[in-house]
Amino acid sequence: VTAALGGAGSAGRSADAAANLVAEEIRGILAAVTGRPEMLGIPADMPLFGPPVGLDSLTGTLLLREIQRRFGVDVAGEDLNLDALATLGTLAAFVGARAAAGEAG
Amino acid sequence: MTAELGPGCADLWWLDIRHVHPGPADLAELDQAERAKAASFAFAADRHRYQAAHVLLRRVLSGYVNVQPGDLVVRRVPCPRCGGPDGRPALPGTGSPHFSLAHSGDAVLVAVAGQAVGADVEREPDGCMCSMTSVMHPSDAAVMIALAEPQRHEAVIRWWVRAEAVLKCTGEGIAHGLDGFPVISGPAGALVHGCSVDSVAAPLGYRAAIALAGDAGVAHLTVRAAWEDRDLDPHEPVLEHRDEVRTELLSRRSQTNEPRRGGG
Repeated sequence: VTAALGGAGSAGRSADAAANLVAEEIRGILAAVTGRPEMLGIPADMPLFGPPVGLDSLTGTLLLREIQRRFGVDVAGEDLNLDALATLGTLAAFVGARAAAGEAG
Repeated sequence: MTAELGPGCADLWWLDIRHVHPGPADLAELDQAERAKAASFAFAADRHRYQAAHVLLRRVLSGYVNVQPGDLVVRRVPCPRCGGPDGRPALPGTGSPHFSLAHSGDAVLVAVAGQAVGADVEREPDGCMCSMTSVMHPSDAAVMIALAEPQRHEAVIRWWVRAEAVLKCTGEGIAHGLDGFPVISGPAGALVHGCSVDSVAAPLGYRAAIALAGDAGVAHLTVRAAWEDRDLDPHEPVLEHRDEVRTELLSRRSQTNEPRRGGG
């Protein structure tokens, strides 16, 4: 995934592609921390916290710790960016952008 | 009932949601906000857990305050740290009992006490939770790091339910952090963030803890509705089963909701 994040192509397209790859990885993390394979199929516009996905505080924290471990991005540390946590898609875009910035810098 | 809820005392009500299937008459007891939230779950299992938990909560509280379950008004006390709207849920009135609702997997736990109370239950996750040490108080993290697996995995879950019980007792959200106080490594009986906290017997495969405001300890827990005893984790302290009420709260109720045939 990290190799793909720095891949060639126009900036917009590579950012989209990176976000899609990150979203796929986040689905995997969600399935792992909740023990529920149906998480692999949730759409990008699905809200993550609150009822729709049913993440509780433990699985939510596990998700964010696992994202930090795999991507080196501390979502909760950056003032718990609520916009970034709105949906699977916004979280993936946030993580993709921060991971790419971290690699570049 | 509230007269018995002295300092350090709490009633625990367990429910296995696999045994309950709330029908329309049961769900009619939920308020507008609860119904809206239930409707917004993407997965049926989550909706079922939420509905069963809230129907149970209302039935339990109803017995303490003598108000019909559907007439209970539950409000949120503002967060004591930031004044935000998502603090501890509470019943109106100064003499009302305090309560805390927790649910995970198939288990629902309601704790009722005479002082502020926080309860948490979690099904033990399969995956590695080692990274959680980074959100713990340093002295708790040091305890975890010194442990070998699988003891560390168990200890992390035990830590989590104790920390969350404390934060639910004070009414602070976990966004304010879990690392401000040790819940594992402090001296026995010491106040934790203004609370007394203890692990409680949980169903096999689950961990649970309860926190009570003040320094009276977690002295006397009464299981009013028990999980099947054989399923309780033998590694947790054994609870006193005084006044055990092994009632199928919801299934008994739903029988009375069956359409009546032939008059009545």
